[in-house]
Amino acid sequence: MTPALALRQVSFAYVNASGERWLVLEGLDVSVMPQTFVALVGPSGSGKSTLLRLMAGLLRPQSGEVLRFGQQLHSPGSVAYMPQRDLLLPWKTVVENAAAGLQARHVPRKQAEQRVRELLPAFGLEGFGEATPDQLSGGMRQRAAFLRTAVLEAEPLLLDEPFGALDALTRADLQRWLLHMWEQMRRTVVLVTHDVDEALLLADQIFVISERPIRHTQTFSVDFPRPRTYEVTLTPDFLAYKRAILVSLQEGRA
Amino acid sequence: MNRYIRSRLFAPLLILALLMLWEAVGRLAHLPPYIVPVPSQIGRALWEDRVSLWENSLTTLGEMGIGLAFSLIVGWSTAVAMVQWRGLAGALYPLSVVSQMIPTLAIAPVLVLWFGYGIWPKAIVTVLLTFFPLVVTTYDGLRSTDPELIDLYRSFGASNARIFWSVRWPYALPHFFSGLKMAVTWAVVGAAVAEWVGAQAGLGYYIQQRSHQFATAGVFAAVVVLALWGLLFFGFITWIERRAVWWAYARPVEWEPEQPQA
Ligand SMILES: Nc1ncnc2c1ncn2[C@@H]1O[C@H](COP(=O)(O)OP(=O)(O)OP(=O)(O)O)[C@@H](O)[C@H]1O
Ligand SMILES: [Mg+2]
Repeated sequence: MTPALALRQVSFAYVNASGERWLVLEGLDVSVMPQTFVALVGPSGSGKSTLLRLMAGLLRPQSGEVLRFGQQLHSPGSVAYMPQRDLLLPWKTVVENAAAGLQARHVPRKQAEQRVRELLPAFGLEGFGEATPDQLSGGMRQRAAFLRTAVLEAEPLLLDEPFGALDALTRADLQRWLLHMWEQMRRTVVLVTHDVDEALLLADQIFVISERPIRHTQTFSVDFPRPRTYEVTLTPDFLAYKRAILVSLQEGRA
Repeated sequence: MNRYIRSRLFAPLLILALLMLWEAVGRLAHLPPYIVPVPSQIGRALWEDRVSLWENSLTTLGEMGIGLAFSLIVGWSTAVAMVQWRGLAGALYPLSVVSQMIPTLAIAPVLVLWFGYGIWPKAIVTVLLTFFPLVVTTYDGLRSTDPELIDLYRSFGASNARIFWSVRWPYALPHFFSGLKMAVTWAVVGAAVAEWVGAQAGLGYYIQQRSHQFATAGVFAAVVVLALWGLLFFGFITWIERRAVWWAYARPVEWEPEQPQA
């Protein structure tokens, strides 16, 4: 089967004006199979966002190639990408904000907004379609941002720490909600996080990054049955996984 | 009386008090009106010369309008071009700074020499004064857009034009309006000052005439008219701004903390 997303021998570095290189990826191979939920776990500054931006086509590899369903990714605009902050435009309503991506992909405004309105209830935003972002709570803003990305119906869905900025309760809420959403729509997802519990709860596969530059990832297959509930986080298996991942994270640092 | 009305009344009352103080001191000290006219004399000059003040205003406003319109169109386009083509910014930004360094008053006579006593030297002075604030605020505003937001729109596959109109320009609006507010006030003063050097009409010309005749009350009357025009334009732009970029301001409070019981 062709991977929904594949990195082949990808190297990437940031360079400054005096020619210094800050190597982030070196000869990395990664494959994400269609309809799997992949979590990318790693310490801060290890290059997770950079990797995701390469997958989104926002950055171009210095060498190697990024393939989306076997086709080389030349420019952004074919995947669905959600950055860490919600980045809602304060002068637009929830519906207008969430329709912005579709409109940029040449869906007429009426139609785009109609599609968004149909999805409002599923995203817990019913009755807030005409609200402006400053009238929403942090969790609702994040859901609106997620709606803006999800409505694109593009594959894969790349999420950069979507719940990183939220309090623990709201985060648990949204994790449960995302779990439910995903089990219904089954799209290819790559989720960046440094929360191991979140990764274990949601993902089919966890790629652990332990150091920069990233040369390889350690893969864990998480085979908790679906549909999952929060209960899995209390099982001994969950703890065993968690220990293994934490050890793998530690090893890279030693 | 509610807090809002009280805060609105404060400034006018203060001005009124100051005018009364001025009037009282002027009268008690018997200052000659050609040195320090009192407010009532200025008021009379304003009323008696209202037709001439109005006609001269039109001349000044015309000059100012041409200059400001030019600065707006060319300044805005320059700022946009500088943002779209990085290389251009390196060349044009210093140039617009230089335009602000030109001692405008000093070159006004030269402009009169070149373009005569008509409307053009004044319009050019206005341009020299207003171009810089407009270009710099618009450019800085356009550049202040969150790069992550631009990346988000790029990930949508949005064209440069869409990114500009949907994100960059709206986020630049508050900066642009700051520049515009500066520019209109400078424009009124700039046009009047340019008339000083050589003109056949306009508020600057009027001031110069009255001052030669030691009609100091008339000078003050024209100054008052200039200030009123400046205030009017400033207020007008603030009014538009409030409507165009309402989202940049805090919402009016609907819910206030209840007062503690005594
Ligand atoms: N635009 C940039 N220019 C130069 N260096 C950068 C840039 N962006 C990131 N870096 C560097 O590249 C490395 C990887 O950054 P990245 O943002 O991908 O990390 P991350 O794993 O997402 O971290 P976090 O978990 O804190 O978000 C870091 O060392 C960072 O300092
Ligand atoms: Mg990051």
